[in-house]
Amino acid sequence: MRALNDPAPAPLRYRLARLWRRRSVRRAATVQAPALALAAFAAMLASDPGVHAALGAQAQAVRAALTARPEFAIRRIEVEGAGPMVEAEVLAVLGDVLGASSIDLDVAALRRRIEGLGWVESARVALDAREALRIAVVERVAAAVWRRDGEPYLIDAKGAEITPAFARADHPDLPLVIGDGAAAAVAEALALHRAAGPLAPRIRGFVRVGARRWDVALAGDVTLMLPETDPVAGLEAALALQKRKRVFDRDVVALDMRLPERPTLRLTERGVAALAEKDAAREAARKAARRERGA
Amino acid sequence: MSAPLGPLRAMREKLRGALRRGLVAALDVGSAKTCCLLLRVDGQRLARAQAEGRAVDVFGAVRVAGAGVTKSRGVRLGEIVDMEEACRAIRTALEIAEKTAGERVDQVVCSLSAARPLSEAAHGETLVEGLEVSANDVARAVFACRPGARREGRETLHAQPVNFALDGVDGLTDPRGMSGSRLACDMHLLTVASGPLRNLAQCVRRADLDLAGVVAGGYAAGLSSLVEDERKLGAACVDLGAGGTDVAIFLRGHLIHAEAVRLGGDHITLDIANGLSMSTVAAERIKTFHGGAVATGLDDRELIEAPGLGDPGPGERRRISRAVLIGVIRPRLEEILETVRDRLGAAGFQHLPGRRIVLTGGAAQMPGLEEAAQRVLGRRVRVGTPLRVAGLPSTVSGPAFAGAVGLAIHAALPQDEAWDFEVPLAPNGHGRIRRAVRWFRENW
Repeated sequence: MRALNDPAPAPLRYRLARLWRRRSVRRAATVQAPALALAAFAAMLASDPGVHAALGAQAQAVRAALTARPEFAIRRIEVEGAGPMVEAEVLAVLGDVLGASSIDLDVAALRRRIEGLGWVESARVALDAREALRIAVVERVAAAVWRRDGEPYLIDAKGAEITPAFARADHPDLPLVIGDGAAAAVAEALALHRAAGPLAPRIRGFVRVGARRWDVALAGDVTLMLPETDPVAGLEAALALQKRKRVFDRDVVALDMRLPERPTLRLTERGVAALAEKDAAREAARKAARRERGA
Repeated sequence: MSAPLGPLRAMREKLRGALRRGLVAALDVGSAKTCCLLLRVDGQRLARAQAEGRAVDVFGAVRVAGAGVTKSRGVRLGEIVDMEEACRAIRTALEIAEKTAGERVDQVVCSLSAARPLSEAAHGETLVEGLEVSANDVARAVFACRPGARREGRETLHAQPVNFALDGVDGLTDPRGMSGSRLACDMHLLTVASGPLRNLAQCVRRADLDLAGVVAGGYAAGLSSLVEDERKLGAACVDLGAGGTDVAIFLRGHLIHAEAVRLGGDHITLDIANGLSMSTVAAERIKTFHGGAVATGLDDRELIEAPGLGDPGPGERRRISRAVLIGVIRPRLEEILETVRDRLGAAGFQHLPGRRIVLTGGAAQMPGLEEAAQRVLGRRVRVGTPLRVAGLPSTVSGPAFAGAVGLAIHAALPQDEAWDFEVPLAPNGHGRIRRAVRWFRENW
């Protein structure tokens, strides 16, 4: 029987108290278990699609309220460095930007879109503090006409395609380049064009052969074949030949300068026949002369 | 040493583990009070001190973090007679100590007083295997010690090697590394009745605790209240408890003999209650407040209130002179001291060089005890209070707590027992296999 003044703890209480005194138990109950419960609650919320939807709607509403404020609206668009035609094209590609909120505006995408225009080499798009969208454009300059699959295109000095040219005749001052990889090597063609000098009026176009070297197509179906390296020197040699011998005024189909030290002429059939005739005549003349000496 | 050492070894392992973790409790279940000290141990400092073998440093590594004392129930004459009550007292004391310390302790060292201790000497000899004595040789010498006869119903409490002799050179404490051929070992074996020991173990287990060692009560009291020099030169510690008196004789720092006299302070209280026809509670009270061992002329005139059985209210209580009270106390006290003297004589105490006697325990607080004891036991008697361990509350530092404090000291610096030695390996392979088999049997 338990005495009245016995202060001994009851067995269960004693065991629980001792369990509580164990450090790991205490930490588990005071720190780990609440943290775990909190984490579980958070995970439960996170995995509930209803909560997701509500949160998303809330965020949308806040964002909409923010974008709708007049302080963020775009009032003006300023385009710099573009001619009237290009400016119209830029404005067309911008679409319905005026009055939109600057928060929703994707400047990088706008810039990509503007730079996608053929006439634009590069563009800078910036939001101004004064509610203006400032667009600085560097235009491309057409340097040549590139004929590809029978269709003419305008290209600039770096070979970038600007726009389809409706007719070659619209751009008589621009040189014509043809062939695979002609656009990429257009700088060489332009250099040849500048170096053409007296031959310039006869040049019909520059043909890229095997994406490797240039042929110059001249009036009258005459072809000037230039070497792979240093085509300008080849052209100048051809010019020298023309000056001294009038090569291109004769019955030639092609002047082959591919080996610079050994220019080769290809004659027309008429030229070949004339040459054979001339040779035969000369042979006959020589025979006659020998006969005379012998006699 | 054919005794099964498995449980003892396991208890010692538990104690070592508790010291490593830095928390161990000392539990003294006495007849009058149950005392629990919660010790916080600085493991590194303790290991350093143990390596140097300096007892003083060991005490520096131990600190009492909490102390709980409660009145014992269910313990009579030092033995548990009511399991439930005793367990409740242990729970109370432990709860107080743990609450003070704010920590939970699992391993506990207990003292067992009374339980009819019996000291035995054992002797063992072995031939040294190499040129110098190795640890294995020492272990073989220790395990060669044969106790006299194994008695039914008794269990070994202590088996301490107290002396080593190498080729007739006596008095070695650590013969390792010395050269010689015959190594002899003297061992002090202390056996107790297995019933009380098992009851104590059971009780501790029921209190949700892990028993990490049992120490004889007198030995524990001697550890705390004898000065180291006294233990070396030969001294006896007499722990005058409530239910019984424990006697422990020390020589050369070792316990060499332990006795228990089944007479204690409770008997004095009973004498007062019977002789003056009072309730035991009142008798205990006037014994504590007014008791004494030697009467003087002044005591005849000093009247103390002694309510007899069936006395009416406080106004009309009986008053007796203090001399009457002392007259009741004295014969019983002298009987106890004379029994102690006889036991000491039978154990050959008078042949020791020191022959100091230190009285401790709750009954040692009685005024005039020293004088009375000197008349019976001789001039070299003093009343000893236990050593001060750091953090010990002043309420737990009196002579009554010598046993508990001694337990704390024992927990920090346990004496080598036979089961602390590795079982010696036989030179051939059998020993190893046998060891493996035994390991399995002990652990699975």
